Amino acid sequence: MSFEGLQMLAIGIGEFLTVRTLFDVLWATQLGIIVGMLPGLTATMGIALMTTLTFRMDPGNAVLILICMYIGSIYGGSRSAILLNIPGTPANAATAVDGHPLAMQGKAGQAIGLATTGSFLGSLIGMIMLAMFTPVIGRFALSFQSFEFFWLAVFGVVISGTLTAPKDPLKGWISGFLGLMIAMVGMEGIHAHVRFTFGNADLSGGIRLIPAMVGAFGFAEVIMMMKHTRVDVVKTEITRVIPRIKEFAKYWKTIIRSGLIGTFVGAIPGVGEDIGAWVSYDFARRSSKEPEKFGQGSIEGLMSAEVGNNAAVGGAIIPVLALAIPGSAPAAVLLAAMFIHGVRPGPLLMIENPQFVYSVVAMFLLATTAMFILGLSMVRTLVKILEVPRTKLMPIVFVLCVIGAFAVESRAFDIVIMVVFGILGYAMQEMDYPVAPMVLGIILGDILDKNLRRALVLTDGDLVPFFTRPISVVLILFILLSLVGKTRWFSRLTTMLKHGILSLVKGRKS
Amino acid sequence: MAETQKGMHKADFITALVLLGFGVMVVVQSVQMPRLEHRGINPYTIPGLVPGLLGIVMVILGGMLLARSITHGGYTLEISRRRIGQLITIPQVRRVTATLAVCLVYALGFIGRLWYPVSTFLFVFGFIVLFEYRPEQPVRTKSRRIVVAGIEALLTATVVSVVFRYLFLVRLP
Repeated sequence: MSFEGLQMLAIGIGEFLTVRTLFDVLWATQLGIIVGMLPGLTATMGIALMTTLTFRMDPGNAVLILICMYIGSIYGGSRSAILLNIPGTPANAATAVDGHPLAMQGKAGQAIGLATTGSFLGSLIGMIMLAMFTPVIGRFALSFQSFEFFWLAVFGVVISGTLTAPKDPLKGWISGFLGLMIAMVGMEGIHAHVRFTFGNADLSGGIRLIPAMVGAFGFAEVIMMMKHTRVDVVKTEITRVIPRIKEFAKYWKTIIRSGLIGTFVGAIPGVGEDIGAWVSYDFARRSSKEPEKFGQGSIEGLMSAEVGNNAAVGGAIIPVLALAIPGSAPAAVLLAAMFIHGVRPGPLLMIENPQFVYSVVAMFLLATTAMFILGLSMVRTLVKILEVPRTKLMPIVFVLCVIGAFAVESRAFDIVIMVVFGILGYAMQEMDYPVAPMVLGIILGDILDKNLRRALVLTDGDLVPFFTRPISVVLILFILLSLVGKTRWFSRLTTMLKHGILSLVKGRKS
Repeated sequence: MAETQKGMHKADFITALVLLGFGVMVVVQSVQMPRLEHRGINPYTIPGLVPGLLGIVMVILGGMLLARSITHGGYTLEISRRRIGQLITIPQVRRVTATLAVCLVYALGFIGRLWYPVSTFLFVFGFIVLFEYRPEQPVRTKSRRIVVAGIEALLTATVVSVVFRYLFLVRLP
């Protein structure tokens, strides 16, 4: 980060150091922690609801509240992962693997304290990377033309599909392309021609992202939660929560590695915090001196998962600001909220409004600090919230889904959209289709549509430039790699190559 | 586990057919879409171009899913009245159906027709009673649950309506 960048960061922090703003930071982060804690309320849902509640505020305060909600909820999910063995948000699934065994051993307080510290450190690493790389990527993206944006949209959908459905990438791709097709509904951006509305005037404006996401992540989750009967909270005495430095300092390598991995994974379009946590966890296990403890209550495992998922938040915001492409589902809502508030993220942001990038970093710092303080306090009180039965909680969640979908544009049709996407999201989850690529597809659809047609106009129908421009070639290679990377013949090919190279090296040595 | 896998292949078979049908429909619609020649637009910018291409991709992906599900025997759907009858007796299916029913009645039936606080009260009350009421419980427990559900529903309807309307200045549906 340059000196100019540091100066803008200081201005950003200074802007937010008012009593009113600090109060907003505290309540929004606390609410985020509660939303994250409660199974059935995800970070995406929380940010979507907050968008509807903050759209009358000034952009700075509104985005600050949404970032606090984002960071708070991704952290908050660790609480239920540890105490219920149910991740509060998908991002905390890896946390449950070691967090819950620790709670079962009577170390729930210690696990909560370490998860909080891990989230804090992960968030800090994500924030540093956000400050360092957003301007660089933003400036680099200025050289993108329609060809690159077209391939970027295809890349986003394909890689998101591959990584969010590791067991069955085909379903991930179907989800992504379904999202692109959904984005084709309504008025297209070049000739204002209305497509696939079948005479329905409400559809001419297209499928709005907020109602669709409230449905896919809120209503779908209500159905999913009600499918199962209740789960009991671990009855354990929560004693010491504040961790000792030596408890986590000895895992400093794991913390830094998980932070970097989490940020990198988070920055990949549409992949998100859950994959960030799993990849960090997997790397930590592979390089651990005590891998046998993983899954049995390993502190290193717990730390890696929590550092990974919170670092991914910073990572997911990098492409939001630099390219206007979200790194995760909650970041997609954040992007939509920024547009609602008149902020236009994307490559031009670093030219038009560079201060905003550093203001976001300052918001991140405030939210991270609040999360750390609130996370280590009121632990016993907040645990009581987990004891609220889902039969009482879920109807309230659905009431919020309905009003959340309606509030932004006051359109009753958006409630219908929410319901349809809720049922679709539930069906997709039941059949192992990831929902995140579909959401990314809805966002990228317009980018893909406009840029493919613009590029064809530029080349007068010639397809060669699509495959010869350097950045396009790199993106195509990545697309091909993620398409064939999981096939048997590709792994055979890579094994053969590895053996070939090894024998060549051995031959030279002898 | 094997039974779940088998069920998934059957679901994949049906999904693949839906996706194929959907993809073909999108391609047909895209081909039929106006090309706006009267506006003298560049032929490479016709509105149906990208949806048509996406439709083709969807047909390919649906075809891949269909081929895979057929290889795993997903086409043996074995739909019978008896199996459907068995499905209804599964507690999870009943819970999902009940959840969907009450939520749809509230979102698509009550909202816009009844005053918002009233519809919200009825929904929350109905939801809690539906899932917590057990006929086999003693009368006192049942009555207490109904009263508690009523209080919770009243609180939710009031708080949500007031907070959204007057604090966040949101127009209620």
